[in-house]
Amino acid sequence: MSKKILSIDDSKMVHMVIARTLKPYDIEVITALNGQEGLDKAHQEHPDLIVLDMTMPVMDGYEALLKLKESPQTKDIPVMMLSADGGTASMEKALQAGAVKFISKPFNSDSLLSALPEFLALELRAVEVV
Amino acid sequence: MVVFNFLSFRRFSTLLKGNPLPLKFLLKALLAKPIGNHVVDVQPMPICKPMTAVSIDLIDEIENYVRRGAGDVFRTMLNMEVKAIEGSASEPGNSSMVVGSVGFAGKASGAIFIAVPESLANEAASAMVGLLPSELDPDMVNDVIAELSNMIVGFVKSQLCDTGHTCVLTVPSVMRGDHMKVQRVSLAKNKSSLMICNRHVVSIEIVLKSDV
Repeated sequence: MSKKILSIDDSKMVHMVIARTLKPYDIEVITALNGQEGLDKAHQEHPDLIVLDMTMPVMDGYEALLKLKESPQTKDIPVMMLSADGGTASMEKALQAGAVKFISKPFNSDSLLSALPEFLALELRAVEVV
Repeated sequence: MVVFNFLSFRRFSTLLKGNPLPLKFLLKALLAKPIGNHVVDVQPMPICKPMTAVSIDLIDEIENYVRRGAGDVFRTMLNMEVKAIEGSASEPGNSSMVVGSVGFAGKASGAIFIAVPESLANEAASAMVGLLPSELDPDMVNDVIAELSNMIVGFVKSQLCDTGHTCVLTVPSVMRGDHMKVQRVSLAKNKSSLMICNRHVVSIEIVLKSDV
């Protein structure tokens, strides 16, 4: 059964980079462009992992993280921060609010892929795309 | 404060994502009518208080952070090398430019502008998303420059926060235009520097308002 990741970021380019990175694997990537849209999709789609940016319009990542952790439907979904706002204080704040990991931008495919098995409970193996 | 002069202005677009307040002066600059080849000046905005005791050392530190951040971001995200070179952008460039900007506010407040020739912006977008340049549209290129600017200034913010200059970032914005330059006005400390990437010159302008 394929895993599902929700990428919440105001940059479509980040969504494209994540989708390109995960293309060889059996992982579905769904996307949202701000925190509010991300909350809605998290409740609708029940992803296995949420990758969340910090600085976004409408609702920022920190507020979205708090709301995700408040909701009974989403509180158990692991949330991994992927943000350019990577100062020590921001990282500590996000981790204290319930994020399981903080990856600073810029990021490469290795840093993303190496973090996934732990939170998706799977062994990443490239699948043949026909 | 920075003013963009659009000489022989043909087109521009903005990509404002959310709160535009810290970039209000930019909008005013953008909306000012170009007057032939004359400099378009913009009056001080109410949100800008007179400068006091800005640390010259801090703006030098920020310049260093921008250079390090740009090097890291271009290498990691684009597999491109970018290096600092001598000089400053004193005259409008001849090529179309894409300018990404991100503001920061707190114990250190200001904005950083990263002006990239359109040709390099297209190369960067192609490298970042793995598409051919012919498959890109201007909005995709804008989005890439916005995100790269966000990452570079995010690195700056991290360094500032870790050295006690706590601040928060605005969402990035992007402008496009031909024959434009960044002009300094007297309300804030400015520092401009140049970097080079794939034979393209990248212009960096740092604007700092600080009581530190």
